[in-house]
Amino acid sequence: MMWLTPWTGFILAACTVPLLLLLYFLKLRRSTQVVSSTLLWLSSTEDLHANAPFQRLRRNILLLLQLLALLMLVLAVMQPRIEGAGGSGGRTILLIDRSASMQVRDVDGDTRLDAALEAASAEIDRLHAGGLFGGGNEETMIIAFAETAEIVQPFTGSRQQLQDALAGISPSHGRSLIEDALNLARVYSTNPNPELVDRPIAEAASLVLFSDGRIQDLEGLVLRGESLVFQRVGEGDVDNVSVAHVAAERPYDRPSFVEVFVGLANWNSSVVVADVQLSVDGIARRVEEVELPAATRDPASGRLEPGRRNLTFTPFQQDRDAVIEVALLREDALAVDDAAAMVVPPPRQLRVGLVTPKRRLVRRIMEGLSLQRLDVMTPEAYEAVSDAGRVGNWDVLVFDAVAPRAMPTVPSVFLGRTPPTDQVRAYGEAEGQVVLGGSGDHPVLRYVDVDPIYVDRARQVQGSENAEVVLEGSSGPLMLTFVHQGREHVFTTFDPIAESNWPYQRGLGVFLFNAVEYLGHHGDAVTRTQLSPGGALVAHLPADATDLVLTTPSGEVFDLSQQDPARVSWGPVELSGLHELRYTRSGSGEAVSWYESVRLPQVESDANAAQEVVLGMQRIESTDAGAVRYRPLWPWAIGMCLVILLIEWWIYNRKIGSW
Amino acid sequence: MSRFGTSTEPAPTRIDQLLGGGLMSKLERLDIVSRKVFSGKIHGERRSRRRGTSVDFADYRPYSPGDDLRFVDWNIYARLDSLFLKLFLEEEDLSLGIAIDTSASMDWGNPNKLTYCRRLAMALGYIGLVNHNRVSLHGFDGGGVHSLRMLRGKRRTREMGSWLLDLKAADGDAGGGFAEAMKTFALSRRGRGVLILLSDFMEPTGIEEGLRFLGGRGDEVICLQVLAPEEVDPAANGLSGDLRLRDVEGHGDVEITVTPALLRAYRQRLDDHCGRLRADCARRGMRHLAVHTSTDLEAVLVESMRQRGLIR
Repeated sequence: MMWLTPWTGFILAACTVPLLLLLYFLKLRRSTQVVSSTLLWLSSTEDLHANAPFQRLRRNILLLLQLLALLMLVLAVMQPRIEGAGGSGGRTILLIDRSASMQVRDVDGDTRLDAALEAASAEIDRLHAGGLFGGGNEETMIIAFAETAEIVQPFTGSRQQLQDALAGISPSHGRSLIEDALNLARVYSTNPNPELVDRPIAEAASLVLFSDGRIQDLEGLVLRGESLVFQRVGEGDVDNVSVAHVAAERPYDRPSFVEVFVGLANWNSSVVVADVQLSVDGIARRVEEVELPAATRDPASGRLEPGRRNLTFTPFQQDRDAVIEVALLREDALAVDDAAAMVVPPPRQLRVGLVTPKRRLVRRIMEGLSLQRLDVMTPEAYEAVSDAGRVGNWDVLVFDAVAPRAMPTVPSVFLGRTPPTDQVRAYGEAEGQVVLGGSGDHPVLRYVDVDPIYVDRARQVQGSENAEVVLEGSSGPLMLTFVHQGREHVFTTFDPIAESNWPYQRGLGVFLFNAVEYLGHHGDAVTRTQLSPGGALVAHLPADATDLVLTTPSGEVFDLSQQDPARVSWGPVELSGLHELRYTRSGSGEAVSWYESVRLPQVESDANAAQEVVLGMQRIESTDAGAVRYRPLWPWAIGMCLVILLIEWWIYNRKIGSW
Repeated sequence: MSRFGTSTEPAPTRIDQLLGGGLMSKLERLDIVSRKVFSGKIHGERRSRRRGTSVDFADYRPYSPGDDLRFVDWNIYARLDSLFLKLFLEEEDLSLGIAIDTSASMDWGNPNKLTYCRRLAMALGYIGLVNHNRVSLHGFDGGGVHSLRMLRGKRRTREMGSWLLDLKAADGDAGGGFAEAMKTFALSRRGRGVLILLSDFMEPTGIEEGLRFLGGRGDEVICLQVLAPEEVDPAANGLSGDLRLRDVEGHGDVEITVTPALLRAYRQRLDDHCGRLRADCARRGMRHLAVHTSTDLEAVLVESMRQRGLIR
């Protein structure tokens, strides 16, 4: 048994017990009894009073009971606790972190998630233990969270339901974001029905967080009346080296070759030498030994900055598509970030249609690109082809200062003319703009220096929520990407040739190359931005694709045949690695595999368990999972006090004869 | 369960409730023992201090002119040539006084002390009437003495019983004390004889002075100290807890908490009180007997009082 505030109890006892005794000396309520003579009693009591001043207190059952009741109050103030089961009789929400860092094996050979589930199971047993010290009206809810949060089990008092729900929690390779989980907890702790007057509008729930504390979105979150217990799983110092990123490119001049770029990160405080293996279609091709510098901690932010090292494998010939995997040949605590894979499609040259009113600069640039075919046509000729329904002969269309009557069904680049779509709405023109900023990591602006661009005149447009501003000018967007009917398009609000100084810079050619490559190879692993867990997997497949089957890295299979091949979506993605979408082309009967590479968020590779979590101004120290839990006994002391007072009242009434 | 000190037995309303027929027949064979010889009023069955006409020889004395010549011992005259009279013992009646304490403290206890005293007085008076004694009954309290005098013969039994039935206890605060009552009683009593005093002798101012008044008259005094069971063993009769004890005669309250120590002290005080009363009585030639109201009346009369030589 432990006492939380023993001295408070001692002080209370020191003040109240003498006071009670004094009151008894001063005013002892006595019943009157008539006797024949008090002669003998008087002399008897005189003797006793002279010898024992406390005589009147002896064997006084009422005083004894009152002292006992007072003792119970003092005990309650001292807040005794015993080790053991039993809850507080309220609502408890178990928040279980199943993010990628919870895959670290540093808890007796088990993963942190296994340890968290075990600790949560023990907590459920404790809360729903039953018996004398078990709570009778405990209700518990389980929320699992990673990139998103989901209620695994709503509030219930059934221990079996809770244990079954725990068993159904699977790991995720996403980041650890707790905001959704807290919002869900608050929503379910609120009584939305004012008719239920027996429940408060908001019942403050006890939150128990089972996590390694590597939570990414703590900043800005606060607790609103909830009590949070942080049960930490995992160690504070783990050995981990990760593959931070992997990319592959086919050299422009040698499309049959593939060049692989790998970024490695060392999260250890010491230098690590590791072998990095490159595999193609499961066959090891290269092994490079790499020395990774030690991680350093930023003294200002306290964040751990990993020791980074980039590695480039020399180009190798790969005429066809291939699955390329980069793996660290080194065992560490977190295995899921030790390998990264991607798919390199076969080399493919694009068929591009250029619709231009006989302007030469764009045509010259396009002719300089390595294309399978470039068809140059006037707007009228394009409209004729479009009317004939043969637009699908091109992979990409470029509209040079012209706008089609209808949106094309292939990815297009619109230069200076507003496309006929509701995704962008023109409402005026602006003159004399400079570039304020650009989305530098967007593929269409890769290697493009946008700062010197001056735009003499541009359309002022309002993009829909699906439109992404790639280049922002001083008076509005200068370049946007948007999706129309599942196809992505690029739109520059100004005519680069007639309305800007871009033709005098090298960037225009690079931009056109990027735009054509980006739109033409959209969906190819080489150029597509890699997906992170929590996002949705989206594929644009041929219209004749059937029998769509998705296979996740863990081997789970999902049938997506009911979806439109033009836009197949599935999510949220839970695991990192290659997701294979197999389909069959009904025309040719050809079985085709489409791959999506999901990368592990790099922040999850920082797997050192945190000692505390900080929510707003509140620092919550960690309690090791499985640590001793205590049950407060003060309610029992209060209850005993009330019972004793009832007994005392009954005896009092018996004594004074009112009953 | 009755309240402490309250009688559960109804007060007697008929004479036969005071003295039953069975006990009455047993009492007819008993007599009050008097260690002293008193002069009586009329001829009776008791030896008198006077010389009389009984058959029991007492003494000789010289003849004086005028003496009855029938009592001259002629054999002495023949031998000594002088006239001597033969004197014989006289047998007269005995004066039996029964004084009952009717103070408020006597109207207490279970069985009630006053009721018990009335029965005891009835029995003793009946013994006196049967033996042709002059029986006087007295009730005394702080307010004074009231008496029923000069009863003689069995036919006065009903009169005696009626007087006892009418005997009531005084109010709680009747004033005066035992000594004052005894003084009044001593001055009003005529003749000498056996005086049986029925009381609890619980007198805050002491009983010595009162006994001194009684002893000075030359009566043979028998003090019957009547105690209720609640006075002898309070705890066994339901006294417990924190109490304010109120004296029924208004002699002040006492706050007590009933504890074994207090009960031991009380018991010791009671023993001291009884011992002191017994010693006072012995010093004045009085006899003392403590009687508990829980004791059967026949047992008191036939056993206790006979063993102590108060009744034969």
